[in-house]
Amino acid sequence: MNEKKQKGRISAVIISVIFLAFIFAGCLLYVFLPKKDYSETEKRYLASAPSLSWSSVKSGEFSEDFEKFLADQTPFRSFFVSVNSYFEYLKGNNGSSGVYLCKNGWLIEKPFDESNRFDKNLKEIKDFTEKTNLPVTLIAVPEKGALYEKYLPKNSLKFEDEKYINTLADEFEKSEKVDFINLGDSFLKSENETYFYKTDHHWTSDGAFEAYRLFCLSKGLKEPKECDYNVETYPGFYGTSYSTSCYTLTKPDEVKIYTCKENGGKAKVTVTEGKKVTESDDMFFRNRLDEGDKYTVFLDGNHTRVDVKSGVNGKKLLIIKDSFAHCLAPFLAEQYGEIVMIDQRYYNGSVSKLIEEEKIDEIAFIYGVNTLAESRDISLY
Amino acid sequence: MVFSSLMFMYVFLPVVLAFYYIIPKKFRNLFLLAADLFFYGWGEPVLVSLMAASIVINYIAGILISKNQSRKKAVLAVSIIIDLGMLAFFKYAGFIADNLRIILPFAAIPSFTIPLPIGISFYTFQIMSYTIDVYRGDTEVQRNLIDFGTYVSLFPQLIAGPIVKYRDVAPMLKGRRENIEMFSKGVKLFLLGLAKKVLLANPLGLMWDSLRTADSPGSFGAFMGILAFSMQIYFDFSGYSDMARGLGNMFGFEFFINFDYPYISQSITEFWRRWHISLGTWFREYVYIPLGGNRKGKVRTVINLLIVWMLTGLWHGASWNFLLWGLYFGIILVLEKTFLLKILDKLPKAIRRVYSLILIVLGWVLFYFSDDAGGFPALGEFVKTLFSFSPASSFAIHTIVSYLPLMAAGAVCSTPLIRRIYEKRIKGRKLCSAAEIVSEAAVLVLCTASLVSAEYNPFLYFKF
Repeated sequence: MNEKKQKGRISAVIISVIFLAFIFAGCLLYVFLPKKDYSETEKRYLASAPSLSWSSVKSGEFSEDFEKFLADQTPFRSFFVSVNSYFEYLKGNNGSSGVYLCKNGWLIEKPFDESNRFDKNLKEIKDFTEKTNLPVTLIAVPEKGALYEKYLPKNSLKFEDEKYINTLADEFEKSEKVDFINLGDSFLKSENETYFYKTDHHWTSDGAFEAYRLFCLSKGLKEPKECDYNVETYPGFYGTSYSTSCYTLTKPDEVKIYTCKENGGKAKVTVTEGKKVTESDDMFFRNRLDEGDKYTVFLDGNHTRVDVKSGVNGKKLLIIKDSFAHCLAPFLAEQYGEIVMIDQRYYNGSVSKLIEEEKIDEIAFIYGVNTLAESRDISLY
Repeated sequence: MVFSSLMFMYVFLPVVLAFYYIIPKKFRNLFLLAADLFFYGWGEPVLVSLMAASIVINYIAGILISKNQSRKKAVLAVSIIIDLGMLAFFKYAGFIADNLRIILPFAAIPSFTIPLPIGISFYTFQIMSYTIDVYRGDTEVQRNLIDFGTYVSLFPQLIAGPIVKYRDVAPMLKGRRENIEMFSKGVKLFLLGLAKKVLLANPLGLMWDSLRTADSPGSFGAFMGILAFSMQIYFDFSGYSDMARGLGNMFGFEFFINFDYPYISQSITEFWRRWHISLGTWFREYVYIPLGGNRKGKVRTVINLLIVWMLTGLWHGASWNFLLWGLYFGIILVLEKTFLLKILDKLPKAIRRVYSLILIVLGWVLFYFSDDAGGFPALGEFVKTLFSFSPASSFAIHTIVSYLPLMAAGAVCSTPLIRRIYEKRIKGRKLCSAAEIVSEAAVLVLCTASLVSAEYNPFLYFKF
């Protein structure tokens, strides 16, 4: 009996010590570990310590911000976040963060919500094309999951991209003004595994090149060949699918850059962000390759307005787009001497005014199908 | 502050434990009181003064009652009026005004919202148990304001129970003995509660939210949704109670059990003996029995029961659905008392359990849709979906399948199955310590991981 009691005591000590060691170690590490500003894994800025004031305490804001601060500055945060992701996965809740962990190292975003703005955005574009005299091109990029359905987990939501692309095709098939570049056959029915990054929701340069090839064929231009390009490869890209899901055991992608053998990808690029204007003489911002989000190598990522002057001819193209265009625009710069590219998430000026001012010759809409279905920013007045 | 937060686990608790065990015993209650006020003030920096006022008023009332036998009734009445008055003002004034406005002479009452102080329903009931017990002579008066303040504001059970009666804690306020066995028992209980809250209740809540707001969940989706909510509220609340009891143990306090596997009940009468036990006993002791209980004939018993259950319902919130929810159970209890129990007794166990579960889950439907959650229109909409026999959308099916393992785990944990296996097969065996240590480490890592990652971490019973 005494021995049993002794044993119980030892076990009580062990249980207590482990618990205390855990919470005290956590407490001390919180205090002494240096605070981080940015998380590489999650690609976002981390919360910093909230400032103490009576008004922030009174409103309860302080205690809320403090909890966020603790969450973001937790020692071994990346470890805990990925433990949580894989735990969810093991529980059968794959996709709890909005991204499925799929076969062959694919991380695939869930399809967009069905309740959507597709009809409204389509009408906006149709109305616009009826008013303008300029030729319009429309490119709609399907979601990654629509291409690689075979890799999706058994319990996953259905991708409807084909339906939307067919609607667009029906809508613009007979249109004289609108040239709809239908990626459906080439993307949705192909077995090609390189059109999208495994860890990012964007298409790769291979995907964009295929779209460019279809674009040229549709316009009656010379079909581009891969051998016309130098291809540089940069490894170690962990994209946004990786960051949001924190399935950290996934292998990284590589980023490919196609530079035209003729001019080496050189063009004068002007990035406008509010009043700040930055200039560069290369469409590929290779310094971005050292950062977490390597997709920004293409035209420096998301900006209000980007101008690309290749000077190949006198034609001027306006691109209204989301981030899928960044990777495609360098190819288009081979056909248009000047490109003006705007992102309506940030650009709120009048499009028709811009067309007039810049003496635009052609217009291209380049959007992911999900943006067309969800965006509240597309407004073409 | 909530227990299942990083602030509590990695800042408040280690600091408080360290100081508590370093300082001499005679200062420990004072230190706990300071810690309690900080704990409460962290989430409620202004209204901490309200609780402080309550403490002082009832402390004085207690002394006056014990000193002045002839006027003790008046003093008790005043203190109860103040306590319930504060509760009524902060919790029910808006609700009463909203309903009065419908009646023409009061139509001009402006609309207002008063912030509900966290835990006011819990600590008001605790305080009242003290003054009433002093009045009845069931407990000694407390002359030490610090000890009394420590009792009322004791952080483990301050904001979501269990509702601890003063006379149960009084001996521990003076002479409690902290020891390592009790501490480790506390650690285990705390982690058990933490796991219930973070690993079961939170994700079940996400499931319920996603099914409830789905476009067309269908009957099946709605059913699985309310089942998820039923489990969420159980694990949320009982997890909190376990954490409270565990923390109490760490500081040398022992609180009574508050939940005893309520979902295995074989009748609603039994359910209410197993669910939120401290609230049930409070109402029985301080309302039902003083009203005459079942000693004044059948009619009065029924009336008393219905009064108690309407009050129990209203205690949960200032909204009509809570009153109805209470009444719903009141009526079922009356029916069971008069004839249903006799019939149930003759039926097989399984049927009795199914009968109870169906009534409990339907009760949660009524319970969920308070005014804040859309009120009766939302309730009607949900009930319509529940009985529409329409098919579930693919989204709803996807959600249900994703959460199926969690639902299964929740179902198992709602029964004493694991506890029995532990007690019969593991406890006292060689591997017991190893198994306990592994589970301890797993709970610590997984809960921290979840708290670090997730934004969804509400405490349902905070509202009450």
